[in-house]
Amino acid sequence: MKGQVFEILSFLILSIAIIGIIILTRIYLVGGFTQTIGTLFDRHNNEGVRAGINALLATTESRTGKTDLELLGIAAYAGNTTIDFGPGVGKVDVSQEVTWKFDAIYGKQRWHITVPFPDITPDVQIVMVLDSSSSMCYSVPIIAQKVPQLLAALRQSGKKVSMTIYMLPGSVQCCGGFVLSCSPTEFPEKPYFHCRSIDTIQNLCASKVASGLGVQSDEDYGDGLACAIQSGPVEGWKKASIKLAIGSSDELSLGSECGGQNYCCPDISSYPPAISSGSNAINASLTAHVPLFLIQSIDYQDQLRTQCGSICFYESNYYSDCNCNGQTCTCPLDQPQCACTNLVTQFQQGLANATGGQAYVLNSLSGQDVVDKIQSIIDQQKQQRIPSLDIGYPVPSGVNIRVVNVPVPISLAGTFTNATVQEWS
Amino acid sequence: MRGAAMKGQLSYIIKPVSLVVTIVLLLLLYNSISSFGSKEKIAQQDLDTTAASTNTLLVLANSPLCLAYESPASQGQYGNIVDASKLDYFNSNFSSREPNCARSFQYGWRVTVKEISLQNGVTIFSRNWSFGAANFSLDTGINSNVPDFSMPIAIHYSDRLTRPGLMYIHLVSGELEKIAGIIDYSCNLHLQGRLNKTTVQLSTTFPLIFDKNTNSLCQVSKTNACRITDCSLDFNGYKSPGNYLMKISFNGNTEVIQ
Repeated sequence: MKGQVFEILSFLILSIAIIGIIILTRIYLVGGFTQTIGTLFDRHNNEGVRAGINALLATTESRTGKTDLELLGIAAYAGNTTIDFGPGVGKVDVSQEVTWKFDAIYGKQRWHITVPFPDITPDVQIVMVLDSSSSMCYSVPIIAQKVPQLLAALRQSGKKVSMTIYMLPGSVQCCGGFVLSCSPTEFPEKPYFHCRSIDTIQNLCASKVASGLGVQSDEDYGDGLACAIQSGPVEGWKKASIKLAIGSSDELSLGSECGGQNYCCPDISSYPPAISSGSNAINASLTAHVPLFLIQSIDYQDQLRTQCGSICFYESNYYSDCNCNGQTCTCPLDQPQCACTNLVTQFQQGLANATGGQAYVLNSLSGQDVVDKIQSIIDQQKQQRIPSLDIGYPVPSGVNIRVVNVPVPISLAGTFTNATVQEWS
Repeated sequence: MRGAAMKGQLSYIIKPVSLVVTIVLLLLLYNSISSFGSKEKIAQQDLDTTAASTNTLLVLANSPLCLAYESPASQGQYGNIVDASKLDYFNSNFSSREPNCARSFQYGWRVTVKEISLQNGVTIFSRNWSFGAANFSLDTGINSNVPDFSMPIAIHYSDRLTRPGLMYIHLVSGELEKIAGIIDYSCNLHLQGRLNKTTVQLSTTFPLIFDKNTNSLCQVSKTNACRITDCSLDFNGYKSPGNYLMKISFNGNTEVIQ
């Protein structure tokens, strides 16, 4: 009996040992081998995904000719997934561009991309158009003196502001010797501050307006703004910068004389040339997405707006009621300039409102007032930045996810960010 | 007395049963180990084919001798960016054989490149290119059933026009590919002055012939499967399936096979 029990026990032990070997073989050998094969497959897949993502990001967008990697860099710079490439190309939505390509290659519900956008201070580029008629003899010297100081202070505080002034045609010599033109003495050139005669870009602009006339006079700031927006500042419009156009004048565009009648007409509809000039400015502004800001200059020296003052300047020829005839003299402002003040305000507000800008009226000829108005324009430009680009589909749990990090150069800022691409199948 | 008889009877029953069960268990063990071995072999084969597919695609997309776009300014290549003009060239010059830059002497492959575009919000394949082997080993000769692989690529037309695409590869490791591979490999070594003759043991499940008109080695069946060879062959063919000792020698640049 004892022997039989031992026999049965030894058989049981043998059976258990064989079954154990089978289980161990299954678990460790087969499992280990399967895992190795799986790892090798995964490596191949990972390499394929990595190479594929790099290739996809190297493909170009049809309208701009830029690669998706470049577009991501620009979007990161702008802090926005929609990039405005101006009137020729229009807006490009980077999310849509990347999405259709990744959907086509990896399929829907199969990928996700995150690109963190660094906190970048955008460039603020301003073109300013100045009326160069004699009544600007009060405002322009102050702008020439104070604006470069303001820009320097703003830049020191971290704002990347630059300005190009385009002076309308003319070269009136004001009392005190200031000439309403872009002489280096009056407007010292700086890397961030330039002054150019509108004549330097006039040919380009004239070819773009229906009339072919371009800027027509020293007070045609409507066409001047259109021209400045189309040409851009001296350094050219930069991608993803904040772009502004400022016009400054004390009269209606092309003058307040109601078409040479030398009196202020009752309403703006009586000034077809001014309406046309203003429309050109609005069209250029809306096309290029550059809002218009207007600063209505003061055309009198005393501080009470109800009183109309006089202009002091050098006039080589006959000038209306004041026959200076080759000498410096102080002439009273004539009726249109004084009577049209409110109409000018209305006209300039119309330009600003139509383009998302704002119109200001100078309250005094103190330099601080000019500085305050321009600083107010710059300060209200807050770029709406989003913290990151997040496109694709929610990452599921419980699936094998392949992650690829791709450096995205932000060439405009001289830095880079990392795109994290996740792909699963 | 009855107890001793009972003990003897039990022993008679238990011992054969134990023997049978033990044999069954050993058979199970053998089966388990052998199935593991065959699974390993299949997996290994699939892995080899996968690796060969991926490698061939990577070589095609990244070697300037194949399709990789090479910037004239920097003379640099970029990962998986292929030159559209090279695709055109491959499409017209390698319509029925693999280009040498990515030739394998063990596998046969055919690559199809599809360009992807967006038209009216719908993704379409706007252009196709195809090159590589025209035929593959006949069914029973094919050793691997790994599905086709694809890899995303960028198709470079100009610096301002690069479109997305997919490069598909159909890769086969069959008898025809291997035998033609041996013949071509020997041919290439001979052309480099490194081989005059060799002998190879091989087996074929189809008769083999050499078609001088098309310079192709063919498996003969209802529909022939042929591969263009690198050298011109002096080969009378193998009339029937079986194992052969292939003797390769050269007469000038003609490969003589017996």
